[in-house]
Amino acid sequence: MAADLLLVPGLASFRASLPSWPVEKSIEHLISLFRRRQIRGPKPCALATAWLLRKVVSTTRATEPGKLILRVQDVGKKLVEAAPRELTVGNIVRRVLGAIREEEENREADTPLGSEPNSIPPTPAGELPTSFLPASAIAPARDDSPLGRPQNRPALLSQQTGGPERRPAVTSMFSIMAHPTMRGSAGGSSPIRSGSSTPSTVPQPPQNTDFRAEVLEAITEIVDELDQADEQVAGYALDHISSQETIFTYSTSPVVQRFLLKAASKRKFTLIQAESYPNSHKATHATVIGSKIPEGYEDLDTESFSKPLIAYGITVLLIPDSSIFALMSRANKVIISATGVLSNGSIVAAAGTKPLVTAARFHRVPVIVLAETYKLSPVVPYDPFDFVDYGDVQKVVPYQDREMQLGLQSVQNPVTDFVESEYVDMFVTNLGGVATGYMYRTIRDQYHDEDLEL
Amino acid sequence: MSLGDVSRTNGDVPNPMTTPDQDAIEQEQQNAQDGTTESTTDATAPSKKSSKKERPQVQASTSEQNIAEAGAGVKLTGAALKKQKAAEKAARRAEKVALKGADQIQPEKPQQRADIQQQKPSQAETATKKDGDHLQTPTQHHKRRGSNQPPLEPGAVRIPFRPGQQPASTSQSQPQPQQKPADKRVPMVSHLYPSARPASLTTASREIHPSVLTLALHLRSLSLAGSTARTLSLLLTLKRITFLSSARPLGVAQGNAIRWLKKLISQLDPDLDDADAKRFLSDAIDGFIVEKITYASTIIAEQASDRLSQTGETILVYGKSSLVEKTLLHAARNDHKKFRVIVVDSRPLFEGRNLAKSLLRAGMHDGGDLSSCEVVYTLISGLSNVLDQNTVTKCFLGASGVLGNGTLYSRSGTAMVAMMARQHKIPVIVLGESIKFTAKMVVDSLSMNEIGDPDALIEREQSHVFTDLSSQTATKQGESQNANTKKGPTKKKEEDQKEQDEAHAKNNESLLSGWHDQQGLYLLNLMYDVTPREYLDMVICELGTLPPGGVPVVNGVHGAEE
Repeated sequence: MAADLLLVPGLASFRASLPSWPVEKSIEHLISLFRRRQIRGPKPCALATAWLLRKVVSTTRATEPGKLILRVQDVGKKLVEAAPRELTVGNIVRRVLGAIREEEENREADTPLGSEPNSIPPTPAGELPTSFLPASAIAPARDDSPLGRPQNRPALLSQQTGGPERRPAVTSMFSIMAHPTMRGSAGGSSPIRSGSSTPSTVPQPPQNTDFRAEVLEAITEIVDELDQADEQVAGYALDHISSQETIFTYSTSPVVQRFLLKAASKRKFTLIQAESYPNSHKATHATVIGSKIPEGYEDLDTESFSKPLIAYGITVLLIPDSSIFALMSRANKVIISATGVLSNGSIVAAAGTKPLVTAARFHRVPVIVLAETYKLSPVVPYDPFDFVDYGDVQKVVPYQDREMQLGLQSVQNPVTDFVESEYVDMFVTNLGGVATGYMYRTIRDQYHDEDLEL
Repeated sequence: MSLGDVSRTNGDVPNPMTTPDQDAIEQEQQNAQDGTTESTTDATAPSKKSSKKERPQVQASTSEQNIAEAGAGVKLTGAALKKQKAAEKAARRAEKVALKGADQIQPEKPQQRADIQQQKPSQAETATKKDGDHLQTPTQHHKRRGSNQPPLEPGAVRIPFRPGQQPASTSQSQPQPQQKPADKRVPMVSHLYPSARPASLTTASREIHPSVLTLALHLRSLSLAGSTARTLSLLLTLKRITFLSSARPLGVAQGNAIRWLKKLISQLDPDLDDADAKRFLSDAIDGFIVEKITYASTIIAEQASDRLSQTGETILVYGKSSLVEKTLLHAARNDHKKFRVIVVDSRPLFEGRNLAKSLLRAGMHDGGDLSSCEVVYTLISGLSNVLDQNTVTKCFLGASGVLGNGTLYSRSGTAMVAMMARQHKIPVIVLGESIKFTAKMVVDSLSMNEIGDPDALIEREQSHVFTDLSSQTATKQGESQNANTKKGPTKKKEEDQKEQDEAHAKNNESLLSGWHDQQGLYLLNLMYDVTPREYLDMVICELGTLPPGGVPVVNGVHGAEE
C-alpha cells in the first residue's frame, strides 16, 4: 500500500523522490504536480513547498543572502504561478524568504555596530512609542537592493500591541537599532542594508555555510510548525466549547476535527454537521462515521481519523446542506476552518460557506474560524473572484446525464467560497485567538513587506 | 320489526305495524326486488316508502300496483324516498342473506343520529364485503335509542344504517325473505333505477380510496340514507383520512381543502336527495379543483410572467415547484420572453434536476424551440458563486404553504436561496395558490415540519460502473494522462489499484449505511423549512399580488380558518 502510494503522483511520491533527484528536476516535478492538481489543499501544498525550498536552499550555490533570496524568489514565483489559487504556496515562500531575511538581520546584528552619533540607544521593546508609526511617512522605500528593508517597516513589536506571540520575531531588539527611523535619517544605502546610515557598519563576513545552515534550520522549523499547527489550534478548544452546547460545522477538515475531538474528551456537546455536497460530503461522512476517507475524495485538507466524535459520546447530527437555515436556529456557535485567510481578515473556505455564515448572521450565531498560521496570507483580495477555485463539474451533473450536459448553458462546481471578514467573529490560530479586526496585523507581522510581491 | 324500524328512522312516523300491512309490505319487498346482482344495487321502486306512507292506500292493491301508485302518486320527500329504498334494499339483503345463509348481515339500526355502527356486510355482496374490511374502526360513542339494536361488538363503530337489514339471528319479527329472481323495474320510475353503476363502482374501486368506496357503496345502497347519517359517514370517511395523513402529514393546502369540503357538507341541504347531494358534492369538488388549483395556477403563471421584462431577465428558482415551472414555460412559450433560468438544487431529492430537465425538454437550450432561454444548474453549495457570476433579476419560489405571519413554508433549502437572493438585492417572489394560505404561524423551521426518510441521505452512487471509473481516475490522479506521468505504475499495479477502487466504490455506497448502529449519530432529513418574512418581497396568488404580510387578509376573504 505504501509502495502504491509512492507511485501515485502526489505528495507522498514527491517526498520520496526529493532526496534522490537533482534539484531542477524536483522543481519541475513539483510545478507539474501543482499544475495538474495532483497536490491540492492548503496543507499538502504547504508541505511540498517547504520541502522543495529546503532542498533548494541546501543545494544552492548562492552563498550570499542576497543571492539566496533571489534564488528562492525565482523558484517561489514559478510555484505560485503553478498553483495560483493555493494560497499556502505563496505563504510558505514568503516565510522562507522572511527566514532568510531574518537570519541575515541576525547576522548583521551580531556584527559590532560601532558608535553612531545618530543612533538612538536601544530602547526596551515595551517603551517603543507608537507614534513612530507609520514609518512609511518617514522615508521612501528603497528597492534597489534585494535585501532592501522597507522604510515603512513598522517598528512595533508584537508584545506592545498585545498580539499573539510569534516565532522568531520579524523585528528583534537589534533590528530596531538598525531601523532607519531609529537612526533618524534615511540617507545612504549600503548594498546590504538600505536606509542604513551607519557608517560604521562593517561588511558581512562571508559565513555562507553557517548562514545556509541556519536558514535550513529555520525552514525545518517551518515544516515542524506545519505539522503541529493543528494540534496547537486544538489546544484552544476547551476555551471555546462549553458543555451542552450545540456546535454547527460545515464540511470537514483536520483542524476542526482535532479541535472538536479535543473538546469532546472533556465536554459533552452536540454537533450539527452539514455535509457540504458535492465536494466534501464523502469526506464528511467518513469523518462522522469514523471510516477511512475514500481515495480520491480528499478535497481541500482532509484526513482520516481513527476515532470519530461519536466514540466520545458526542451526539452528531448529519444534515444535508438544504437544512442549514432550518437547523441554524438551534446552534450556539459555528466553527469552521478556512482554506486561506487574506490580509484584511476575509477568508477563503469550502463552497457553501457563504450561505452558511449568512444564515448564522441571521440567527445571531457567532462564527469562529480556525486557521493555522500557514494559511494566513498577506495577499490583498482586490478581486474576490480570484480566490474561487473550481472543481470537477461531473460531481454536479454526471457526464452520463447527456441531456443535462448538452442542454444546460453552464454548470459550475465551485470548490471554495470567498467570505468577507465581517461574517467572521473571531479566528483561532495556533498562536491563540485573534479578533477579526486585528487579523490584518497578525498577518502582516508574519511576513516581510517586501515579500508581498513575489 | 323491519317496518317498524323503518318508520322509526324518521322519528316521526308512528311505529305500530299491523300484520296485514306487514304481509303486504313483504310482498312488495319481494315484488320490488330487482333480483339484481349480489353487489349492492341502488334504489329500486320506492315500494317500502310509499307503502309506509300510503299504507292505507296500497293495502288492497297488488304489489306492483302499489309500486306504481307509489311511484306515481306520491310526492316523496327525499327522506321518505330514501326510507323506501332503504327498506327495500334491506329486505333484499335480508333475502340474499337468507338465501346464501350468510351469518353476517348488516344489522338493523333504526337510529340515525348518533349511533354509528358498522359490521361486516353479508358475504353475498362482494363489493360490500370489501367495505367490511375497511369498516372496522374504533368504537365511537354511541347512544342507543332502539331496542332492536343488536349489541355492538367491541371495536365496532356505529353508523346509522338503514333498518330492515336485520340479521336473521337477531330479529324474530323479520319473516324469512323469499327469493325473488325477477328483475322487474317499474317503467314509471325507471330513471331511478341504477344504470350501470354497480359495474362502474367495482371497476372504479382501484382509483378510489377504499374508504371512499365504502362510503359510496353505502350511500348507494341506502344503507345510509339520512342526511345526517350521510354526513356522519362522510365525516367518518374523512376521518379515515387520518390514515392518509399518517402515511404522510397533511400539507397546508390539503388541510384547507378538507376543511372546505367539510364545511360544504355541513351546509348541504338536508332535504336534498341522495343523488342530488352526491352530484352536488362531486360538482363542487370538481369546481374546487378547477377554481383553486388548475385555473388558479394559470392565473398565477400569467401574472408572474407579466412581471418579467421581455428580455434580459435572469431568474433564480429552487427545487421543483409546479407553479414556477408553469410560469416559466408560460413566459417562454406564450409571452415569448427571453430569459435565463438558474436552477438551484439540493440533496437528497434533487428536484431541481427534474425542473431543469423539464425546461430543457421544453426547448430551452441551443437549437430548441425556446432557444432564446437558457438554463443554468447549480447546487446549494454553489449558490454564492452563481449569484456572483450572474446578475439575477428575479427569484421565483414555490410554496407549500404561506403562513399567517407572512413566512413561507416550502421545501427545505428555500430559506437559504431567499436569504442569498435578498443579500444580492434580488426581488423574491412567492408563487402560491390561495388554497395554500393559512392562518397558522410559526417562527422557526422546526415547529412545523416533516421528517423525511433519513436513509435517503445515504448516498448511493448513480452508476456503479461509472463509480469505478471515477474513483479510479481520482486515485490515479492523472494516470489517464499517463503520457506525462514520470512514474507510471506497472500493469500489475493498475490491476491492484482497480480492485482497490472497486472496493472503495462499494465503500462509497455504504459509507453511511451503518449509521443506525452508531450510537449518537443521527441523520436528519427535513422536508421543509420556513423562510422569514423579511426575505420575501411579494406573494402572487390567483386573487392578485400581495405583500407577504397580507396573507391573513386572504384568509379572511375565504372565511376564518379554524
